[in-house]
Amino acid sequence: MIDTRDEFVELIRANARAMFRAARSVLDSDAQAEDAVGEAILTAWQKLDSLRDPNAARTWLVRLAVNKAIDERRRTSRLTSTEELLELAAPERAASPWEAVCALPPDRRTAVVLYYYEGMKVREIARVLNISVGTVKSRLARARRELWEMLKEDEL
Amino acid sequence: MNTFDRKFKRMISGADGVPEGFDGRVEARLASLPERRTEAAPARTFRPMRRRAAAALAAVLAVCLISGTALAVSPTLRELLWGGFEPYVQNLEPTAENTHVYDNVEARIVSALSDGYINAVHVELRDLEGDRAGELWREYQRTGVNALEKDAVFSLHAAADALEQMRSILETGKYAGGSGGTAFPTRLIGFDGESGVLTLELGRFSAAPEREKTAKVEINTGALGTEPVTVRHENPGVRWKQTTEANGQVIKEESGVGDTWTEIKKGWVLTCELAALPVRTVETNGLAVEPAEAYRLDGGKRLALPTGGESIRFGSVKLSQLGVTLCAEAEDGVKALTPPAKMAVVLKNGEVFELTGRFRADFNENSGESRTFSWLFPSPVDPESVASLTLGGVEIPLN
Repeated sequence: MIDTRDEFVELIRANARAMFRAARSVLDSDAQAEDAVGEAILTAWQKLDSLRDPNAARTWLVRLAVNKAIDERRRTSRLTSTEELLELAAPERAASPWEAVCALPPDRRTAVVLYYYEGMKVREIARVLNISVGTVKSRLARARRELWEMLKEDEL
Repeated sequence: MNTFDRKFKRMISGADGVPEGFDGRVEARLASLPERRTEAAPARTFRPMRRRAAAALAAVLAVCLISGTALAVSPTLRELLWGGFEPYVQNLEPTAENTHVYDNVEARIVSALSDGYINAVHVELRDLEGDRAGELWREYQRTGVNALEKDAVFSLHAAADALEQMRSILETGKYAGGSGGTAFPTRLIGFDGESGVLTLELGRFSAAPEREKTAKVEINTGALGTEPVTVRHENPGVRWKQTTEANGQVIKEESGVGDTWTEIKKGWVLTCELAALPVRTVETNGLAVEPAEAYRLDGGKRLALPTGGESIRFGSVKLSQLGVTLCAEAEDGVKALTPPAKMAVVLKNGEVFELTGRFRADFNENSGESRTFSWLFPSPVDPESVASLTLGGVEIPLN
């Protein structure tokens, strides 16, 4: 059981980067993702009692971050400018794997981040995103193809 | 783990995408947590002031956009949409050419409109056995994630594997120019819970202005497995790739030389004739606007160049119910100038709204043809009702 403030702080330090990547996979900017992480940290602190199994802490925090990011995205989704879409459509070659991941559509981006960066299993991702295992696999399959296209001149 | 997974994991090791200073901001957030977990939340200190100001501005813009958009949810949205385009909308009856059913999901082109520069195809999706179209719509409402995505990909949520990808492609015929364009976003227009019909708008910048006659909507299915949908085989001098369905059936084959791929066989394609919308043309006689950026293409990559006090000169403005297109005079064929993205539209009744994104047709190298830039209206607008446009601080009167 994680009970003290110090233990909580250590838990966040160990998982904040994973939370950021998960939030960033839903949102289109680093600033928004940091906001979502900030909100998730506060919620985690307030609802720490609901975390029964410390071994599940990482998944729990990532899920909180994803949910906060989805809330943030919902609040700002009407703002999606076609200019941003133009920018998204533009890069056919990505300068780095992370840039390529960020260029993916949000649903596939999230699946990729949780699978490759956070090392989650497909079933675990399905639970975090509240979608079916088949959908996770489908999104990963399409994401691989797109990543391949964007990175093929590098090492893939 | 397949080969791609191994290589990709090797590529990402040591590079985690977290921005500089993130750890420090997390520490600040942790330090600001209340002592007791039941205390009220402290004021948000995580976001730097500059971002907070940006968010406030964004909220204001959101109100403006929502007030002018057709994306609001309403059972009568379809009727409103068609009403806006009446009497030009085709409202096509289902035929073998414009309708396809796969995995009990029916996709049907109900209208295809063109003003010569912007093409908009309206498609209705209906799940014949369940509520997958409704699931997609609800996910859009819940998360804000819709098909406004790169390459206008459309995914059905959850049961997903019926129509994994839908994108609009338009026939370019034998047009020999080198122009291309950026696809407009796919917009979820509305969902009619009674009939279970989801209405989409698939837009496309015309690749051959005033020459395209037929709209095509290509439907591909996705894969259930973890292997890439597309498998490439590359041997010296011979390259080809396949797109396979979940059951292994090949639905698309292409062969390639260099960066050019030729389609041998592809998935289902719906077609219908494009209906021509009336266009209001206003000559602007070389009106000059300062470019937002300049670039040249180098092997498919955009290389930024200094703008150097140059101007983009526009010869005419084309307005239709779909949007605004500015026709620029040709540049030197190597260096391309791009106008600012934001355009203000002033209507004769005094109403003003802002278009925040523009799409361009890539310039034709050495062809001498004009380049065009288009902005899509959020909902149909009578072209005769537009009094003026403002782009980059330059007013373009249309009266």
